[in-house]
Amino acid sequence: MIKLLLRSYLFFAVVSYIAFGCSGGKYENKAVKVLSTADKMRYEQYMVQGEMLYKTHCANCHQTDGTGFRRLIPPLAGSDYMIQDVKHTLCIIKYGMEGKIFVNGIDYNQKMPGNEQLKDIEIAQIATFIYNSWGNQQGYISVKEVRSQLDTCK
Amino acid sequence: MRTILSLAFAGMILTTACTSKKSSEEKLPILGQPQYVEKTVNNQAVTDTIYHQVADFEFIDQDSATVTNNTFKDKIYVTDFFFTSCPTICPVMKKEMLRVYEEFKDNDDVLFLSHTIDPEYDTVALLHDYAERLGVSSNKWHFVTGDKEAIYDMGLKSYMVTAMEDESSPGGFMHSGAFILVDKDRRIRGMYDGTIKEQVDLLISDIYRLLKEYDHDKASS
Repeated sequence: MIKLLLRSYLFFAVVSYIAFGCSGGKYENKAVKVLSTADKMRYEQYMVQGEMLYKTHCANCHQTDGTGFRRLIPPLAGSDYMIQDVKHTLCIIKYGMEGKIFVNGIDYNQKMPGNEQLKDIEIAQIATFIYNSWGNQQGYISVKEVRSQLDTCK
Repeated sequence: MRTILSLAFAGMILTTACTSKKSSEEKLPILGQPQYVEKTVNNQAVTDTIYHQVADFEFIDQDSATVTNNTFKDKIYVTDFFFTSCPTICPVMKKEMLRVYEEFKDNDDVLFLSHTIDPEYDTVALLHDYAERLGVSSNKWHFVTGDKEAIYDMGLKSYMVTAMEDESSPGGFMHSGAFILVDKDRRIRGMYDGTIKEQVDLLISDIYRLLKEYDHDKASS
């Protein structure tokens, strides 16, 4: 009786491992396809955590669909600035920014408050979420990458 | 016995049905503390109610134009308090206010007045830039700055909302996200949380009600 139970449990575990490994799940995109299985799992977890953190710290201004607000707050969806400059984007998330920037040809000049209370892993989670949502497909941002980039923010 | 009960029940339903239809025609309340003044009219003692009114004010808007109560003479207006570098509720407030603005864009009877509670940072030039980026017309939506104490006074005493400097608040200022609806007689007819979509929906329908009140008055005068 127990043997049967264990066998079915093991079967279930094996099948879901294979299924997960092969299908990639909800957040699959071309950049994520090349990740190792371990990284893929971390990526999925970051997307879930990142979305929650984004809703709490960022969505008020940048909106839940990442489209920003008129010419006051830049969009994140398809943002050329974000895509071309990961380092600055990570620094901005942590330390905020002031001064004019150009995003998709439009200038923005509002002060953005920083989030210095966020830990490296939380920055990595938010970054992973914004870089892989709303059509963005930049791939997983690791804690290591966050730490090395943040060390060089001005 | 049964017939009496069912008749009573039907009566209840019918009366509530009839009265609830009237409530959408009911006038908006007048908010604020009224004053009751005893007067003598034709040798009779009469109590006059003096409703709370918005005090006199004078500020400067994003076009460097002077804005006073006269700017809103014979107009309904919606007002709030904010500051451009506000990290928390202001973007939501502006987004919601924009919704109301778009709804009444072509109605000359409805205007908008946003006060900055950080006049040191939010200069006329900065407010001009902000309003331009928001994409709104300065004749319709005035962003004003001026004497800090005067602005806080208007907030607290006239519009009955919180607006003040507070080191412990994010951004350095504490203010309520309230939208206040003012009628053509400087009276406050409604207060709504500008960060809550459903309350702003209510503000929009209340503006229609208020406009209707004036139409009815015009028709019956």
